[in-house]
Formats: sequence, C-alpha cells, structure tokens
Amino acid sequence: MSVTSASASTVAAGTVLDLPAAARSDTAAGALAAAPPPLAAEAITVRYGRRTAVDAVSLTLSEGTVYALLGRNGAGKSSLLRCLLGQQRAAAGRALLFGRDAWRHRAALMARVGVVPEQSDAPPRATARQLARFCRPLYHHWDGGAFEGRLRRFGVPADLPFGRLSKGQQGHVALALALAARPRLLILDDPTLGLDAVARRAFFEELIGELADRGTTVLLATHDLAAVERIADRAGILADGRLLLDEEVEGLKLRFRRIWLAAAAAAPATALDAFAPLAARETVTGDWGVETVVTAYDDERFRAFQGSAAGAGAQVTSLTLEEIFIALTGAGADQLESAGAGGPR
Amino acid sequence: MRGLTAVLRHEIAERRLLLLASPLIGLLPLAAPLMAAGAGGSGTAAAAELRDMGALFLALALSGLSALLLGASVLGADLASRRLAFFFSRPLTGGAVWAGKLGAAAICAWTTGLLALLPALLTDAATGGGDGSFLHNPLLPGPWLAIWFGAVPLTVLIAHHGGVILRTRSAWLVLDLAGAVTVAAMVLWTLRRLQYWGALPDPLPAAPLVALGSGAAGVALLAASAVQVIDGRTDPVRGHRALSLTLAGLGVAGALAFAALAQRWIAIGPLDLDSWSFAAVAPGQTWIALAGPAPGPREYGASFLLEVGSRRSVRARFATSADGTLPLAFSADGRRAVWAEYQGRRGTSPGVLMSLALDRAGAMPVRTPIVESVPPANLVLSPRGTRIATTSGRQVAVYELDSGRLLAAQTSRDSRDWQATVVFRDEDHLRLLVSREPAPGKDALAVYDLDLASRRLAGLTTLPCTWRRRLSPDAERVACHGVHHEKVAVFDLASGQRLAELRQTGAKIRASYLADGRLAMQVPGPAGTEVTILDRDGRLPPGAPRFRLPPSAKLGWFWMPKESIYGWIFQTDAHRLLAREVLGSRVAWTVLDLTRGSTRSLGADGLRLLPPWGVAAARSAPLFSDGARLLRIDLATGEPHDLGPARPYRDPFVE
Repeated sequence: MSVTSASASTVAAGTVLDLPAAARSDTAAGALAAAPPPLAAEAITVRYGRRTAVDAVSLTLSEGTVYALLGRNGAGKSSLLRCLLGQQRAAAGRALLFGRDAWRHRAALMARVGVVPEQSDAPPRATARQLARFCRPLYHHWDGGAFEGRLRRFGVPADLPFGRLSKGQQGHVALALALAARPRLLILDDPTLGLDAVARRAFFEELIGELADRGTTVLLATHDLAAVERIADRAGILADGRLLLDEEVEGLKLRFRRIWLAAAAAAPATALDAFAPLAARETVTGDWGVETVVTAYDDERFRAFQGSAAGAGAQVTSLTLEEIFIALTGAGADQLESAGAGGPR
Repeated sequence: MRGLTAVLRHEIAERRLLLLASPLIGLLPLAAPLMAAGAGGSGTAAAAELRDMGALFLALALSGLSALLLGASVLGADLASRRLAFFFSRPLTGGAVWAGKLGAAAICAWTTGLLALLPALLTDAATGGGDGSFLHNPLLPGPWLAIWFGAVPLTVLIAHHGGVILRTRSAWLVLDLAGAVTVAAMVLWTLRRLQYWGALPDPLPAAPLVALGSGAAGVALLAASAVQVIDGRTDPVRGHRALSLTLAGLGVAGALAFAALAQRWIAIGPLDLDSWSFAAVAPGQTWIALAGPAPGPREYGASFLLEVGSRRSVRARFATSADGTLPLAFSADGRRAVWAEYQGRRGTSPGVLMSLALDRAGAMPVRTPIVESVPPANLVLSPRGTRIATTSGRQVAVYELDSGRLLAAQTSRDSRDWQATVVFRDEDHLRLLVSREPAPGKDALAVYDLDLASRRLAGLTTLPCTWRRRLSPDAERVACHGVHHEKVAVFDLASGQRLAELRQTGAKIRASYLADGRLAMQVPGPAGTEVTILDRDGRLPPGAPRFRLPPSAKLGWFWMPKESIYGWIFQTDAHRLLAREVLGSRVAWTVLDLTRGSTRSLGADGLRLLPPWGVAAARSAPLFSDGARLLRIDLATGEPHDLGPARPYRDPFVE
C-alpha cells in the first residue's frame, strides 16, 4: 500500500497568495486598529435534535482576512455560516459581526455583509435585473454599474429568469448581487459547488479582483481547495462540528511536510522511530521504503536526521492544502489529536 | 418601511402574470348573453343577471383559490427550499419579510378577485345595469364585500400555516394537533357552560360566532406566522416550533382567558346583577327569588334564591314557560321552593322541576324526577309542600314532589279552554278554574274540583267571568271585574251563585281579597281614591273601615308570575294595606290601618317594594330596596331595619 501525491512539489517558500496580502493587512491595521473584528464566533454550538452539528467553534477574522473554512460534507460548515449570518440561532455561544450580535442585529448588519449561498436562493421567476432592482433600495452603497458590469463579464443575460440560468450563471448573479452592495464582509458558502472549471475560474477571478480593490474580509467555505490555496491567507478545518485547526495557510504549509526514505537506507522500524519527533502521521511503508506526513516539520531536525545513518537519503516535499486537508480529515484522521498539530481545537 | 415596501413590490411583481390573467378570465361571464340565448332565455335582464352572477362566482373562486395557493406557498415553499435565506441575507427585518410576503399574497388574492369582476362591473355601468360605482353596484353588497375582505387574509394565513406544517413535517405537528384539539375542547366546553347558564343563546347565532371565531383565529394565526418568520428565520424546524408554540400558547391562553371570563360571568351572586327586574319574597320572608340582567353578554340574565339573613344565595336557572310566565312556587309555610329549569337547551328542551329546602342550612337545589315536555306555565305547591300541580294551557298535572309520582292529570277537551288556574284546598283536593274564549251565551270560566284519591274531576259551575278575576284565599269566592272596570261581581265558586255586584256610576271599581278573606274595594274619584273593606261576599258590614286617599295614591296590583295571585293588592297582615303614591319622580308609601281606620306615611322616597309571594306571605314588616340597601320596614312604627346591600329594583306595582 502506498500514499502518493501527484501535486507534491519541492519546498518553495512564500507561494501561498497571489494577492497583495501585506498591503491589505497594512490598510486594515492602520485604519481600524480599534475597530471590532468583522467576524467573531464565540463557542458556537448548533444541535439538530440530539446530533451536534457544530461543537463550540470559536473563530475570529480580522479586517481584510481571507479565511477558508474547510471541511467534509456534513462537517457543519453551512450550519456555522447560518449562525454567523444570524439566520439560525445557535444552541450555545454567539456570533458577532463588527462587534454586534448577529442574531439580534441581523438586519442592520446585513447592510455590510455580502452573502453567496451554497445553493442559489434567489427567487426563480425574477431576472437578474429585477433582483438588482429589489436589492438597490436596501443598500446605501449599491453599485448598479458594477453589478451590470459583472453580469457582462460573466456573460449572464440580465433579463432571463433566475431559475432558467445555468448553475454557474446563478452563482455569478449571486456574487454580483453580493459585491454590488460593496460589503465589508463577504461570506461565501461553497459558491462554486457544481460549477465547471471555467465558471469556477471566472468566479474566483472576480473575487480576487474585489479583494484587490477593496480589501474586503472574506469567509469562504469551500471544497475547491486548489482555488482557496491561491487566495486564502488563513484556513480552518471543521470535522464533525469541531474546528480542528485555525491558522495561517503559509504556516500550515510549512508545518505539514511529506518525508520519504528509500528502503535501502534503513530498516523501516528504525526510520519510524526517527520521524517521531516531527509528529509523524499517516506513515506508509513498502518495499520501496517508508513515507510519512509530519505535522511539525522542522528544518534543523530534518537535516540532523538526514545526517544520521537512519536518515541518509531522506527527502522532504511540501504539501498542497488539499493534501493537508486529506491528511487531517481523511482516513486515519482520528490520529489527529495525538499528532500534535498546532492551532486551536 | 423601506424593506417592507421592497418585499411587497417584489412579491406582487412576481405574481404579475396572475394579476394580468384575472381580467381576462373575468371576460368569460360576458359570454352570458350567448349562453342565455342558447338556453332559450329571453331578455337582457336575464343575461345581465347570468353575467353578474357568473362574474361574482368567478371572482370569489379565483380570489379564494389565489389566497389558498399563495398563502400555502409564499413563505412555506421558500422556507422548505431554503430560498427564504435570500431575504434574510439582505438588510431586511424579519417583520418586513413576514408582512411583505403575506401582505402581498393577500393583496394579490384581493386584486385577482376585483380584476376578475372588473369586466362585468364595467359592462354593468355601460349598460345601466349598475350605477358604475364599485361599492354601490348591486353586485357587491357591503356585507358580502366585508366578508370577502376579511376572508381572504384569513384564508392566506390558514393556508400559510398548513403549508409550513405539511412541508416541515416535524414532530411539532403533534403539538399542533394536540393544541387544536385542546383549544377546541376548551372553547366548546366554555360555550356550553355559558349556554347552560343563559349567558349565550342556544343554539348559538352562527354569524357572530363565526365572526368572533374567525377574528380570534386570525389574530392567533397572524401572531404565530409573525413569530415563525421573525424567530424561525430560515430554519424550517425552528420556524415550525415557533409557530406551533405560539399558536398553541395563544390558543390555550385565549381559551383559558375565555374560560376565565365565562367563569367571571357565571360565578356571580344576586348583588352582582345590574339590577333586580324580578323579586318575590317567600313566605317567611327569609328567602327572596331574584332575577335580573347580569354583567356580561347582551341579554344575559341570571336568577337566584337569596337568603336574607345569611346572604347565602343559590343560583337557579328559572325557565320561562310558553306563556312567558316564570314557573316558581313557594310552599305556604315558606320551607320549600320549587321551580322549573330547562333540562337541556334553553327554550326548546323539556322542563325539569327543581326543589330547594329553604329551612335547611346549606341545602342545594335538588333535581326532582318530574319532567314535562315543556316548562309548565304555573306551579302550585300544596299547603304542606308535598305535592305540586303544574298547569300548561289546558293541561293540569299533579305530582308527589319527592317521588315524582303522577297523581292526576287532566286535559280539557273543550277547544275554547285556554288556561287553567289551580288552587290546593288541602293536600288531596284542588279547585280548578278554567278560562274559556268568550262566546255569545257561553260563560268564560268553568270551575272544577279534583279529588286526588279518586282522581275524579267534578264540574261545579260556569261563570260569566271574563276579566280580572280575584280569588279569595280559600278559593270559595271570586271577584270578577267588568271589562271597563265598571263593576265587580262576586260569585260563590261552588254553586255559581252571584253574591254581589259592586258598581258606582261613572267610576272604575277594582277589588281584591285580603288574607283574612275580606274584600278590599277601591273607587277612584275626583276627591281622591276611596277604599272600602267589604266582607268576603262583597257586602258592606257595619263599621267597615273606609279610607280616602289622595287622588294620586292607589292600591295597586303587582305583576306576579303566577296567575292565581296575579293582581293581589299588597297587604300586610289583614290589618294594614299599603298604598303607593307617585308624585312626579317621587314615590311615597302610605300604610292604611284597617283596624283603626287611620293612615301613616312611611315618608321615605325611592323605596321599592319587594312583593311577597301570595297572600300567606303577608307580614307586618315588608321588604323594600332603596336601590343600595335591602330594608325591612315595621309598618306599625315605620322603623326601617338594614338587611344589607341590594341592587336597583323597579317594583312591578301597576296602577
């Protein structure tokens, strides 16, 4: 048995974002140093009957953050987002948007929040233009020109009923509606689910453009890990309702590495012992040697290991966010607790 | 408000096709002339009527159907498909979403009806079939318009709740069903209680009941839908829970409030009555039968038996006979009261006789085994109170009170007979006076004796006694008034012999028997009313007391609920009579001392006499109400004794 990763590559630092993240951070920090965070979850718990869908999740997004909320289907992402949007009342804990309780002040807060749902929820008989006409009086900063421009860029017909648009077009309309309100916080719940590659790309490019222009804080729940890797500067992983980790994407990628050791180098048992200080998990052995994912990679230790008899010839590769996600939530994820991974539990 | 307007506009615009189609559908009834011609009808009037009726039916059907479908889908479908989140992720309050969506459904349902009606209305106006005004068009009478106006939002709300409940299919459905059953049971139970105690008519009037029920249901549904949307938001189960809890809470609270209000109306005493419209003091003067309008629904009246000394009262449900009389009787010794109540529904069910031992502390009314198909017109208790006679029109029945055993029953076969009056001469013998329709050459009163042991009815005589009969206490004599009070004839009831005829040229004469059997005659004249006390045969004995009262003072008659004593003038103990004088708004009472031949003014104003039940109840200290207090006044001294609070009372003293 073996675990392989087609996208594994040699370690390369500083490749997390295509965006001017530093500039965004500077703007946010400078202008709103004392302002409450755009989004904060305080031990939110959601229950459906006896089942706990979200289990005491706490989370804070500072101004300008692009946060990727990852999790398998049924992990509790949508429930958490509904609580954060004040659409669903948490069984315990509370959600704060811009320092105000999201449940109690939902209507007022939504003026500053753009939402792109998992399933497009706009009235099916209304056209995109009619939807814009409906939204326009509700927002102080409605940008009708931007809305029309985005529809043109996306190639969405403005006068076709929403229900007759393709899934991708519906997603684009939803994004256009959300961005036309010029939100300070954008919450997207798996917005590219079911979209083809072209539509996905167009969606994220529009989003990246918005982030570059306005430095909007973004909470993005998605399964599209490749895209997230390009734009997110922070990620959290939900599994069974619990937030397994919540940290900078760059740090995450530095911490998670795959180490490979040829069979001839050492006996597998000796090699396993050697990986232990690096918080190894998902160790796979075979005739070819031994491979493991470590969650607390340290350059110095690895070089020392390489210099030892057991580690002679050992190689290390970086992991994509998807590989990290699979390592944490896929088979053998129950070992995570003992893996010593950082971030809040 | 901006949000509400936006949602309203959006929702109405979403249904623009329905609104556009409505007037087109409304064109269908315009084909009525063709249909009328095809059916062989003639004339434009028939075609216009067919067209208008068709248009009205179509408009109502379209409006109702729209209300039903829109109500069921406008929020419920969005909630089930999670599309409601579109509105909740905008700066819209829950109230705006709720009011905007349901309001739009109601507006669309109203408008579809009006638009469907429009072609017919315009045609009416153009052809002179109506005056062109919506509200004045005979096609749209105001009450129907109001009902339609109210029914549409109610239908929308009912459909909305049904839609949410059926789509959610959560376990809260159990609460919905349990709540509905509980509330319905509580309301029905309360309604039945109110009917039982006479606060509500039986059967209930449908229109106000439906209006009230719909109004209450509408308010509850409106509140529940608001809570469901505002608190449940996009969570269907939470929404259903909020809806169910609100609806069940409001329903149960409303039913409890209704039950509490009903209890407040029912659990009243005689002093809670707005006034006393009927009063009768039982022999012994310790109990008073009272009835009057009670606080609560319009035309709600309650009746009681009140013990004067202890203030204890017993609620009764006095039935009313077909003749409008109140079947109530006290035994001569004042130890027992018997009255008729409806066995079931008021007004239509059989009458059951109730009995109360007045001399037993804490006694409660007891249902006797005696039930008659309708409440009898009159009840007469035997002197010892062991037997009771009931009369209903031409029918007389005598029962043993405790066992309910029927001792005798007689029904006159003479179709001219219309009312029987019964007097117990002793426990086993009764005298019956049967009134007959006046006819030329025929007497108007037939007299019989009924022997209970043999059950034999013996005819004694017939008398030309047509108007205002006054029986002597021993039922041996009767004084019959002329139609214009021009004379009073005194007869012996056993033989039919005319014993005397009292008349005075140009004067109206009235006479009544006193407790000791003497006859009091009253003759009003320009100089005042002259009162003379005759013997029982109507003769003037030597030294008979005579009084001359001021012209405005008269011995009067009390309207009593029992024919045999109806019309007794008030007397106290055969030694005194009470005369009532009305001086403008003032009422003054004068005591006539029959022994001394003197008079005494009670000097009190505003006193209302509570009439005694029958001759045997006469005492020297009658009960009065001054509006606030119950008073016993010693007629010998004129001294009043306060017996406690009373209610305003209008005495039935008839001049």
